[in-house]
Amino acid sequence: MKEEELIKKLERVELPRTELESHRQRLRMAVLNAGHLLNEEPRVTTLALAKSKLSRGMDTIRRGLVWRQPAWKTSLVCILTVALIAGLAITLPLLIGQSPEELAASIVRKSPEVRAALVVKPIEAGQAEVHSVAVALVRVELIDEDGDNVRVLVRGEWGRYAVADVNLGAKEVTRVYKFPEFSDEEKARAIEIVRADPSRVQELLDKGGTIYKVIPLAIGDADGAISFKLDDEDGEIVVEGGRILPAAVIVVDNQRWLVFVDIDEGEVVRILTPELAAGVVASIETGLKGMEAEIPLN
Amino acid sequence: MDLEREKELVERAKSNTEAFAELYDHYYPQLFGYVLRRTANIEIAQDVTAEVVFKALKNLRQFHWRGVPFSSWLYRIAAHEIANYFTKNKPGQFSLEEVSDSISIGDSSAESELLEAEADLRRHEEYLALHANISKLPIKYQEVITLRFFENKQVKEIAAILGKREGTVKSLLHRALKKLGNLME
Repeated sequence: MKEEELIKKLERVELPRTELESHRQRLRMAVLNAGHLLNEEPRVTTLALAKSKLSRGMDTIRRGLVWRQPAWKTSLVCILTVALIAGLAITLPLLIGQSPEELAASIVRKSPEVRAALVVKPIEAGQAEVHSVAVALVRVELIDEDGDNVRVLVRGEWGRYAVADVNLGAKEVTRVYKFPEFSDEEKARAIEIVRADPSRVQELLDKGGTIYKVIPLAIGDADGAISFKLDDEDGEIVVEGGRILPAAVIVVDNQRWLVFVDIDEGEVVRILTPELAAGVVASIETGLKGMEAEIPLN
Repeated sequence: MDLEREKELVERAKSNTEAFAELYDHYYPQLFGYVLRRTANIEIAQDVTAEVVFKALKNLRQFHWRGVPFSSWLYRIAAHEIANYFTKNKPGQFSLEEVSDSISIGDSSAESELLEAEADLRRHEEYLALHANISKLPIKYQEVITLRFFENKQVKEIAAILGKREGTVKSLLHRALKKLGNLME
């Protein structure tokens, strides 16, 4: 086809102007609930800063070498290069792992209680483990005056969160707050409801989907609002607005779905991809302030 | 929305989801429309648009007014996400087309709206035939053709969206038209 003809065709074709009000509204609600995304700092670590300094140093040296230089200058550049590498070898370990955030991260990383609260493990033996999101330390706050105790907000897989109190001096996790777990009977009932669902869940299962795990997740009320507080007595994260429902994680061809179940009503109430779930599972309002960091823990 | 108002909203939105929601209300139709016209699939358009909105929210602090309008920044994220989608979902792999993710079960109004939207899309036969050919082109050509003819963007705006020089966009457009013309022989 001639170019002029094609351009006319492209300019005149009637385009779809479809709008989906229900999608627009659901997404808007998810946006309003996703304040935690605004609080996440870009990942610029001490190592990254050190790397950029290193590359700037190397650029200077490279420029020095390619420019026509007298012999003494080349020797000087070589000496400086050795000095720079030696200097970085000494200072790099000092730069890394010294902040309270990173110290807290290293302690939290080793805590089986914290990992148990965050990592989604398979429900049936023999299923491969799926790690969907890197476990990351989101925020750290000093909770006493001598600076030894910090409260850490940690984000896990599938938008799960836990709050850990850490004693930096003793290098130990002193308390973990997590979502209340459902009993084995409740989980079994949730799976039963999911398997009996006649609609899209059945399509997922028919495609070879496996129910990976039933986890407690928060879901907003009609207005989409979810708020949380920490229960010191029970060591749990309590939902004030919204409610916690069992959510079945279904894995199909590496695509992961969250199926929320209302056990009392005996029905599936919502199906979400993890991307959308990230917006719906709102940030925990723990009242944590101050230092912010995002440090991968695995 | 005038530029001053938009600037003020963008600044506020960096720490306030209510302000971001106002920007969202303004740009959602444009964004969803662009993604839909690139993918010609309602359900994929829903997923990709959601991804674009969350990426924008998450990276908003990195947006600064340096000659690139906010709308171009959104288009840039969208173009990137669409390219990502096509890279990850090559033919033969599991497609979101087959399963809806975000429809509330029992929400019959949302389901019927989706069915209506799909029926509306199917009515645009000429566009679908064009899209079928455009989708055979490499992504870089799909981007320029869609932005120029379906989104009515000028070369300068396309250059801002794709982060390329105007000259590069012109030659991409020229080559894209030639290739598309050959496909439509």
